[in-house]
Amino acid sequence: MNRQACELTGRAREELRGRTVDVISAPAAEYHAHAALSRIRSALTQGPQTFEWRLRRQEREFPVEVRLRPIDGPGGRRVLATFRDVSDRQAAERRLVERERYYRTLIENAVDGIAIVSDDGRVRYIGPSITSVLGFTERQVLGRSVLPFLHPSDAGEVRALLRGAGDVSWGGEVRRLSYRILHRDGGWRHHDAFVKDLRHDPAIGGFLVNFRDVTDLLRAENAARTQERQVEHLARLSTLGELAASLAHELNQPIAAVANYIGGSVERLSNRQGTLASVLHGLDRAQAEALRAGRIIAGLRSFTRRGNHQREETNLTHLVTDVAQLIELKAEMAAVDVTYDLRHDLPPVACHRVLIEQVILNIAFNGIEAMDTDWHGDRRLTLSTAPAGGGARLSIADTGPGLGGINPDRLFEAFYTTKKHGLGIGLSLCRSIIDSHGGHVWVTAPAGQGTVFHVLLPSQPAAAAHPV
Amino acid sequence: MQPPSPTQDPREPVVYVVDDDDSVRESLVWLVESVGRRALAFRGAQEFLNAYDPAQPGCLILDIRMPVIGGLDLQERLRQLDCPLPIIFITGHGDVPMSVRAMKKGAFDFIQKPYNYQDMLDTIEAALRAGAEALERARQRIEAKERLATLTPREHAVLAKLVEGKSSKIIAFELGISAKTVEIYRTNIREKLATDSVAQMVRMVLSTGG
Repeated sequence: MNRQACELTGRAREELRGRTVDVISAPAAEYHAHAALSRIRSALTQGPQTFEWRLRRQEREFPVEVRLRPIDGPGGRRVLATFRDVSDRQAAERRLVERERYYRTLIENAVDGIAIVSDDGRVRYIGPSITSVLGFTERQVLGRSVLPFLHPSDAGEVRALLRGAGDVSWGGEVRRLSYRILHRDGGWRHHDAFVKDLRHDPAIGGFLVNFRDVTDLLRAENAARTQERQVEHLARLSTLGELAASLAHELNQPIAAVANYIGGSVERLSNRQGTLASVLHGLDRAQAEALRAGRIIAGLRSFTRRGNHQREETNLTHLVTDVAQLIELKAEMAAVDVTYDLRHDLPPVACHRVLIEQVILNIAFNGIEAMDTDWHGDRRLTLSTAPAGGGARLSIADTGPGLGGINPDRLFEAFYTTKKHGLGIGLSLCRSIIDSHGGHVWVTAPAGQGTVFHVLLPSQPAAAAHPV
Repeated sequence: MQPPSPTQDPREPVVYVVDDDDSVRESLVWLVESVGRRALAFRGAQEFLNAYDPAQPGCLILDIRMPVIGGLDLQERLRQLDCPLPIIFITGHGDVPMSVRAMKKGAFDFIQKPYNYQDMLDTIEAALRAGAEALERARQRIEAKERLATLTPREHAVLAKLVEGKSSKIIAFELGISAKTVEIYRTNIREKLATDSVAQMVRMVLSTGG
């Protein structure tokens, strides 16, 4: 026994000499002295033996690697035992095994797919989730190229991505990829994938691809978008419907005037009572009235024709002035005065003009309707804009009877209405439009001073909660 | 038909135009003047009421939709004034219920915008005729009232029986006076009412409400 042996076992040389290995071994049966003896015999008869053993020091057990070597000396054949503590190595090995199991479990239970693909598109590794994602087994996929499975119009992009991977621009970053791929059931599925070039990594040696089936998600998004367009269309039609009566009245005025001037001219010419100058005056006025009718139509057309769904940077005040004519049209019928307090130094807001104009019209019309024929107080609608909260604010105030105890929050609920013929979609649509712009709409009703609706649009809008 | 001139015969009928829309109002005046009629325009009901003389023959063209005092409100006020002015309402698209109300309250007619100018001129002429007749009836009614007021109670009693178609003899018997006295009353009545015709007397009594 050397000094190291004494240190490892925590015993003095005197304590060990002449004793069996039971003194230093773990108490389990497999480490008893007779087990040690059979190992020693093997070493004597068969040559060197290497195996693991467990020792103990005080109450702590630890693994050792033991090597028994037969030595022929003057006293006959003996066995030399060397051993070293392998606690650290074993712990490391155990950790490795556990870790591998951990990652394997993660990958095997992942809903998303994972694959390693070489630059010719061949699958070098595929996670077991491929069966739930695409219906194929791992074995059906391994070693085959993914390219024939891709939709013809997407395959080119994927091939180019894999082939162009040598570019400097690729760097080490993760690329996002969308493609359609054939499911085992014969249908196309939309996948969203993240691709990382790990060909230089000896452990991977290819492109690491994480992919996810987004077919249902896309379908739901499309359905939501379609539905929203329909509601929006409905709201526009209902706004136009409300305008129709006002518009008919407004157009009838210049048309009636044209008819009067032409009739008067015809009479003057046929009864020879009018002077040429008076006839010319009448015809001149008739032309002016026809142009007035044309301007009314032009104003309406600019509202209905603009089907642009792109967001553009714009000034909220410009939107108000764009629809001012339509608001005044309705206000005039209801004998309501419209006043403006508009600022031009507003921070620009990014918005869908048509949608925000719709919001302005809806709220303004509500305000005008609040002052119906039964209302005998002030009849005034005020539209004001101002910079506010890092964006622009529009306030539309009426001098009607106020909310009269109606919960202001309920106003924005779908299908909630206080109007006789209301659909209850106006204000709820307004809120969803403003929400999608990252803005805010709210109402205040100072006692006895009518109702004020406020719309706040941020100049740097947050990402839309849902596409519009 | 004469061209319009600022110095008008006060009996010359006037076409009143009340409309808050400048174009409609001005063009209508211009149309009315093309046939030699006199037109007066007002942008609101109150302005019209301030200027209007009920003795003036004419007719009124009125926009049914007007702010502050609407067309129907003005019609109601004129009715309260016991004013015989015929009203032609100009209505727009979708004003049918209002038009019906106007007609029930005695509007002369209503014309929907846009209209044929000839229809408008014809309707104006018809309204002016109706207005002149109505004014004449009103004038006669007032005259009859004034004449009837000059009768003594005894003359009134005799007139009442005359109107019932009774002869002088029967009247004398019923009132307990002589036939000759009845004849004197009848002469007085004829002179005061300026008519020999019993039928005319009946009309006068009826027009003043009995």
